[in-house]
Amino acid sequence: MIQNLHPTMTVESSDRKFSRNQPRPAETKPLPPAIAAENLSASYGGPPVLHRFNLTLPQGELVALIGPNGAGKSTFFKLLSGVMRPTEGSISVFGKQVRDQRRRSTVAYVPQEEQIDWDFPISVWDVVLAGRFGRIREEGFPRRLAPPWFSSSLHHDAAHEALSAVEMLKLASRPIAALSGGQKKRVFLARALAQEARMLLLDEPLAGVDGRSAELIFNVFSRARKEGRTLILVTHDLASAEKYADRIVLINRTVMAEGAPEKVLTLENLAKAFEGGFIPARYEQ
Amino acid sequence: MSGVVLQLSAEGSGPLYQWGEALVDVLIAALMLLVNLFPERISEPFQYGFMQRALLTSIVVGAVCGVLSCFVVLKRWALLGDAISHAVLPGVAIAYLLGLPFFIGAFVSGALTSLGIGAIERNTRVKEDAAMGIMFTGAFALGVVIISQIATSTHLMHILFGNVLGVRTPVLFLTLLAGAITLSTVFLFYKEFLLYVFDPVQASALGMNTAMLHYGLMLLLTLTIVASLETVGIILVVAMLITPGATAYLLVNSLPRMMLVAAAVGVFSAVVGLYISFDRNIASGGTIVLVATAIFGLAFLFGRQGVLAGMLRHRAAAKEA
Repeated sequence: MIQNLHPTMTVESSDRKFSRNQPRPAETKPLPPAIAAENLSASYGGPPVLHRFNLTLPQGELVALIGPNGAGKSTFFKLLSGVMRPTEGSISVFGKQVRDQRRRSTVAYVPQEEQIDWDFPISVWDVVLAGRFGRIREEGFPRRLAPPWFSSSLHHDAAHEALSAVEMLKLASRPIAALSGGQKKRVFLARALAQEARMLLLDEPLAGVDGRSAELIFNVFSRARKEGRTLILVTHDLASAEKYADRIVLINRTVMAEGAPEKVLTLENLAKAFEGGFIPARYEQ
Repeated sequence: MSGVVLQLSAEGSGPLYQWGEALVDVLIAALMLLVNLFPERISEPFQYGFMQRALLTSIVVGAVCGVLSCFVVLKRWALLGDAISHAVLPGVAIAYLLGLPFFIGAFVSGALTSLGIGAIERNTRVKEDAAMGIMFTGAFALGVVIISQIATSTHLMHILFGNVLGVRTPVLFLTLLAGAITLSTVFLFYKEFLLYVFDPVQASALGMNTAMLHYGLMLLLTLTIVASLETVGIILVVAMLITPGATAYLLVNSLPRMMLVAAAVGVFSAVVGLYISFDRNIASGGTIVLVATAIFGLAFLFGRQGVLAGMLRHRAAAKEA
């Protein structure tokens, strides 16, 4: 179910139906880039958090965003998910404005742990089902008005499949307050999978995660990538980034370096991006 | 038997009010069938027309406030609810002067006050809590001054503290209407409100209009506060918009169940409070809120997330270790 992306997706995604275990057919025309940011600036009213930010990323890669705290990584995610608007420049996702992509559930966002109120009275199942809300709303009146427990079984199947992909089906009825760190991450990853988004934004998906969960999460990543999804993760874990990412983007208010891991992750580049400050541990050359 | 006979209020005319009165008649007749199942000691006061109207008002207000209180508690809007409830007073007074419906005036002054709070917060170094304190006490004071010019102090007392025993049919009809609008909006936009309260970033990423949800929720709060004016009054309505939700928060672990429990707590405290206040001849608004507070106290001590359960868990953990 997951691999069948939503029917409202248009021409450029139609070849994506042949996903999972099937070779992609030869591309007749070039795919639009997953992300095209041109001369992007953004601020929260003060000095710009992002300044003259230019970045073009192809579709279907696992990209790691690396940079010091306050470098604008989370801000970049906010621009991509439409929570925030740029003060200058433009940003497009799969060749369309972010505003248009929002209503199509194109972009899924996996938040950092501290952005969520874990005391909220909600079960694992209901969190994952919330990933379907965009799809339910696309069904139009009157079905979009039905509460989630009355929505069509298609949505419940998608939530079911997403939960089994992260091996959380057994804990589906558990309140989120009763989860461990790794389980929390997996639940929100399942929400993004249930959304059947073409782009996944993952903010620190590995922070506070035990080894088993980390392995499982990377398996989910590589499966999603094989299905042609674009994954962008913010991480401080340079070792994993180097091992798993197709591409690394070093940012500090603007793009400092971008390309294949071995080219980007040089001490020189890192020192420049981290301004001689603290370079994340675990990276030993 | 005479209880079913309605005492029609002198004011109110036009087709809407006639419809409303008919609806109120039907609901009260149905309610009385239930009430008459109780022993006479309990059902006796409800033979009076004013007690029947008070009962129906209490049930509606208790249920609607209960449902909304879940959002207030989860969104941490307790202070905002307090601010809005105070800020509607000048609106009510001015609407009364201009002959407009209370709701319009209340909503305009509530909205202006919240805009004012935002303006102070954004443009000065004064923080949100102080900005709220300034704006809502200012608006409230303005309301008190206007009302003291145009009405008696008893009237002011009724607006401030409610007088559910004096509810007339047209007001009851408006309360019903406000309640129906609020409950159906929450039902139809449950997904949007849930996600907006739980994870606004995801709500926005899915293309929901979070500004609309924010102001929509505030609109529903204002509507409910105005509808509750006669029952518990401006000062105590905020208790009904916090306590039932907080009680349910201690007892259950899903939002739909939390809304049901909160509505039940709201209805129970409103009805029991109404009965006690009639029986003992004490202020109705205060009694209703005290019953709700007592239920919260029980949940605090004995609930699943309460003190006792916490102590037991602690002891069990200590034994295991």
